[in-house]
Amino acid sequence: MREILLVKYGEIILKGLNRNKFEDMLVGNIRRAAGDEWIASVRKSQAIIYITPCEGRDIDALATRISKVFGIASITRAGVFEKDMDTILEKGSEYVVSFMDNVKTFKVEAKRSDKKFPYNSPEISRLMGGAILSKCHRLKVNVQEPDALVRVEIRDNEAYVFSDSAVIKGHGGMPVRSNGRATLLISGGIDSPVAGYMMAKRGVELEAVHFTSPPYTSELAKEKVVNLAKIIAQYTGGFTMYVVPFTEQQLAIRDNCPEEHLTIIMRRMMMKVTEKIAKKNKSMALITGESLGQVASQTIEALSVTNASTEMNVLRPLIGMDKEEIIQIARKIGTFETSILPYEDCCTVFVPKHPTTKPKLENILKSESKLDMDYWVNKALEDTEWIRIEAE
Amino acid sequence: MIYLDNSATTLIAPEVIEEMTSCMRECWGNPSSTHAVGREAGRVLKNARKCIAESLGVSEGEIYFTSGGTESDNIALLGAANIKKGKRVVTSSIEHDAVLKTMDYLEAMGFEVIKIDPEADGSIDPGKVIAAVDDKTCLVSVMHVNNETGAIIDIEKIAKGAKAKNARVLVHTDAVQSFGHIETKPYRMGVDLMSVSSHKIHGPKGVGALFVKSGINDLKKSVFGGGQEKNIRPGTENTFGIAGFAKAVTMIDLSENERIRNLREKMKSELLSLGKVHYNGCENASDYILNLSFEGVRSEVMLNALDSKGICVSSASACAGGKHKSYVLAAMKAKFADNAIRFSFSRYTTEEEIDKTIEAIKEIIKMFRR
Repeated sequence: MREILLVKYGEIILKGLNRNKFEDMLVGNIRRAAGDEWIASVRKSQAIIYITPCEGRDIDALATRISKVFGIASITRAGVFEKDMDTILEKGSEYVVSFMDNVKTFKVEAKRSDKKFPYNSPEISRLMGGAILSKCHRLKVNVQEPDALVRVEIRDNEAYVFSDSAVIKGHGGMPVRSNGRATLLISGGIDSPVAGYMMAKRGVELEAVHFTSPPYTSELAKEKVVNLAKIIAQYTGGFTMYVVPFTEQQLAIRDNCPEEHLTIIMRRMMMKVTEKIAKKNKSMALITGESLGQVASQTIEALSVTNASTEMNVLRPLIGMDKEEIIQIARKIGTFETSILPYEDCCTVFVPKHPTTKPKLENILKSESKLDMDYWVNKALEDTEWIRIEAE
Repeated sequence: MIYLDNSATTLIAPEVIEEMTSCMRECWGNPSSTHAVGREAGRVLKNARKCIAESLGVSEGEIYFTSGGTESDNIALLGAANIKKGKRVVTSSIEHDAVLKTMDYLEAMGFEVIKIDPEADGSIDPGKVIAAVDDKTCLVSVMHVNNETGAIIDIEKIAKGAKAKNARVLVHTDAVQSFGHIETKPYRMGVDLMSVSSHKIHGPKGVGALFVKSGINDLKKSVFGGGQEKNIRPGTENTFGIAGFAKAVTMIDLSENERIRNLREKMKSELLSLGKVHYNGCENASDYILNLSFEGVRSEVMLNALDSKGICVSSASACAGGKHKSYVLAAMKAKFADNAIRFSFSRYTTEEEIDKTIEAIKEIIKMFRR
């Protein structure tokens, strides 16, 4: 027996005239996530995407491959049957019953786009209901509040039978690339990968920038961030990560600026470097994992001073979230276990003993003037390397 | 690439690779099978056992193959700790985690575990171990050579003293870091159980051996299965690994020690002469391990900087996986534990490599010391 996947999408339905464009993006992203030689054909009809796998491909494996694509509300497995009523009833009922272990009541809804089919929809529903009851005696029909909704669809060339008890929930959101491009400042911590996930979920195409401080940070610390980026890429598809060696800059800040301003000046310099990379790549905003009040550099005063270092829009999707809420998402998307590996991060290499929590921009600018900011920003850009990140 | 992390693992000798691949091609049978293919594999196992027994000066029947040092330690300790014979177990606080974590388990099972702390130089005073042995002690386990400082511990003295106080005590030693580098003869040392590993002596990973002195028939079982290795370590034998292990054992050459000792001495004296460099260890140490602290440069910074120059060293035991805190140096109350680097050598280490490493360290200190 053959099976197909029915993909339902969420918010795209709300789109008016653009809907087609969004759907096409979603289909493109699904094809990319599945990989070559997994999907034989795709058909869109009435807000459902019908996906036929290539021959020999495991249907569950395909569902898993595409389940993280943003824009998908749910994925349902459906059995494909010959358009013969006896076959549909016999094989179709057996097929859906196999998904109804945890179900007590059900209801059947039939639909035929082929109006020449010798049975009409109410007849098909009634017959299928009877077939299911005879296959599984403990089940009962409940048309008001069924645990499972069984559907029979009679198409031009074949019939589909499926149950909503065989559904996989998607991550929702909007198709990646439907909402422009933004540049994520990614560290090895818990927050920034979650921030990247959240903006990508709103349809943003990501690129990422990561700062390293060898030899204060290790190769393993960098590999950890690459691995985090690969997890994000499971949702977003591949993207580019720029790796900026930042040791000399950090040493210059340490040697020239007041200790209590080290972190905030470092963050401002990082924003300036990232802004330049973003502009070069026609990215429209920066994304950070900042959360109000989490650490000294994320007080409202410190955020204002950091913000003043760039003229670009800075997206901070975690700004109003508690650490516990952020951790919950990190666990859900699979970055948490990697984030908590104990490698030193470039932000924790030179930490002032008493960092200023209420910086004033004029004071920071004064401290900064002891550095040749432009020189160090340009030097960082010269030394920057890029890595292509693909989902693993 | 300069590899000075041989206490973590060693490169596999080309001769060992040759032996293993030919064994994979020709002797892939199950040594327990009675047919021709099985018998062929059985002969591989028999030869390997003989070879390892000879190198330890024991009989073949006293060698049990395991998956490595950790499993040997586990089987030995879980087997020998017997609450009916006594609830006290004596060990040191600088053992490998394979011993320390098993001791934690024994403690949870109701044993009284006494851990002897090292002296400031990392050595273990045999007298302190012996003093902890009483008439309700069933087991003493102390490592032969410490994996972080290279301290050689006088197991012979410990075994003799412990047994003099309580004849029923079983003595185990983890000889993973000494086997192949110094003489490790269980009978001469007076131990009942000894763990050795293949991948520290240019053999493959995933294979090791446990010596159990003949006459000890009441080890408690901790692995259950089909009867292989006289039920001490059941499971189809890793014949390829065992063949490689045996080959590596035949290549042990203690006459290399003098050359390694000279390299270690050179490195130690040249680096100490830079100033603000401290030696973590004792005089009676393995020729193959050198632990130094570089004041003003944190371990991971030195490690990463050397890594970027193609020089592989380690800060603490590699098994601690990324965590740089050394409990061994902490137990020694070493003043510069956060600045410690372990260099560990092998018979493939050359003088040129040592010279290059010394030069690299000089540069790194100049750049990053503060």
